[in-house]
Amino acid sequence: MGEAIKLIICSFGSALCIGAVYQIRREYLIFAGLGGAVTRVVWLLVRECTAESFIYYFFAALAAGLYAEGMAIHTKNPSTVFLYPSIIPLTPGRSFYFTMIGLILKDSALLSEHLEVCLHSLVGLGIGFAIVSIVMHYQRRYHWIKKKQMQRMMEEEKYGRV
Amino acid sequence: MKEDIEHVLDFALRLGESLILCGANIERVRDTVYRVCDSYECRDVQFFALDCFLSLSLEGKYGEQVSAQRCVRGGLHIHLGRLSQLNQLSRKVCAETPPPEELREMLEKALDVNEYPTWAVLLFSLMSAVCLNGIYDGSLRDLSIILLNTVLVFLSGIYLRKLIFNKIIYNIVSAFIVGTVAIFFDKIGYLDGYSTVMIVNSLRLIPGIPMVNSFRNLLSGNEINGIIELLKLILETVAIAGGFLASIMLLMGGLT
Repeated sequence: MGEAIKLIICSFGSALCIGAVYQIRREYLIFAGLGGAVTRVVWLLVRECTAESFIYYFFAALAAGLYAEGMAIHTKNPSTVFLYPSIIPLTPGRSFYFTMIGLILKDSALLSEHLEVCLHSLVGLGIGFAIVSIVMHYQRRYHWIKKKQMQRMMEEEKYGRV
Repeated sequence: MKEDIEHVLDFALRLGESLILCGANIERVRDTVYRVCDSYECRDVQFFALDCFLSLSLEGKYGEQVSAQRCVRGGLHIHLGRLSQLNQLSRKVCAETPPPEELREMLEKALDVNEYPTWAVLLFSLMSAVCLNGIYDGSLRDLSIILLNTVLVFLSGIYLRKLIFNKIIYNIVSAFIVGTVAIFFDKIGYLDGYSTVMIVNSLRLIPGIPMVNSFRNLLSGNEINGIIELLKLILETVAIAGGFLASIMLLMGGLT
C-alpha cells in the first residue's frame, strides 16, 4: 500500500513538473498533475488484476485519454495540454532501457526478457491514447456537421429557399 | 474581395504552422483550418498537411480563388501554453469573424504568451527528475547524478536549440552526456550501477508524444502522417541508443 501511494504521489509530482516544463498555464498545472495521478491509480488497479503489460498500459492510457478529453471540455483547451504530461510518468522506461542495452550489447537473454514487455507496453499505451482521441475527434466532427446543418436550416427558414 | 480572402488564407496557414510547432497533432490542425475557413464562408477548401508542409486552396464567397503553400520550419518545441492561446484565438475568430486584415495582428498577439523563466523551467525539470527517481526506486546517490545529468542535458538543449533544433541530434547528444556521466560515476565506485540513472534521464528523451500521434494518425485514416511519425519515432529511439552506445564505447573500451 505504501509503495502504491508513493508511486501515485511521484506520478502527480512528475506530471505537474513536466507540465510546467512544457509551459502549461499556471492555472492548469494542478490538473496536469492530477492526470498523472489518475493514470497511475488505474495502472495500479489493473495491474492487480492481470500481469499482462499490454492490458494495464492500455487501460491506463485509456484513463489518461478520457481524463484529458474531460478536462479539455471543462476548460475549453485542446486535450493535448492535459495528455502530454501524463505520458512521461507512464513510459515503460525500465523495459525500454534494458531492450536498448540488450540490443547494443548483443545480449540475447536480456533482449528476449524485456523486448516483449516493452513492445506490449508501448503498443498498449499508443492504442489506448489513440482510441479515446479518435472517438472524440469523430464526435466533435459530428457535432460540428450537425451544427452547420441546423444553421443552414434556420437560414433557409428565415430567408426562404433559394 | 480578393484581398480579404488572401488575409484569411494567410492567417489559416500561419495558424496551422504555429499549432504544429507548439505540439498539436495534425487532426487538430486540419479541424482548426477548416473551421476558420468555414466561418469566413469560404467554399471548396482543400487543405493538405504534413508536419513539415502545409498547402491550402480555397474559394471566397464571390468566387475568388486563392492558394498557398507553407513549409513548417523551426522544429517541434512543445509549448502547451501557446497551444491553449492559439486554441482560444481560433475559437474567437470562428465565433466573431473579425475583419480579415486584423487576423495577422491577432495571431501575433496570441503567439506572444508569458513563459516561465529559464531558471523556473530548470527547477521544474529537477523536481520532475526527483519524482521520476522515486518511481524507479533510485537511491540518493542515483538522484544526485540524475540531477547533475538533468542540468547538463538542459544546458546542452538550450545551446543546441540556438544552433539548430533537431530532435535526433539532441537525443544523440543528450544520451551521450547521460551515459558518459553515469558510467563514469559507476566506474569510480560512486554508484552501485548506472541503469537507474540512465532510465530516469532517458525518460524525457523517449519519443512518447510522436508515438501517440503516430498511432492516432494511423488509426484515424491519416496514414501518410502516421508513417512519417512512426519513422521519426524509430529514428529518435535509435538516436538514444546511438548516444548510449557512444558513451559505452568511450568509457568501457568497446562492447563486451
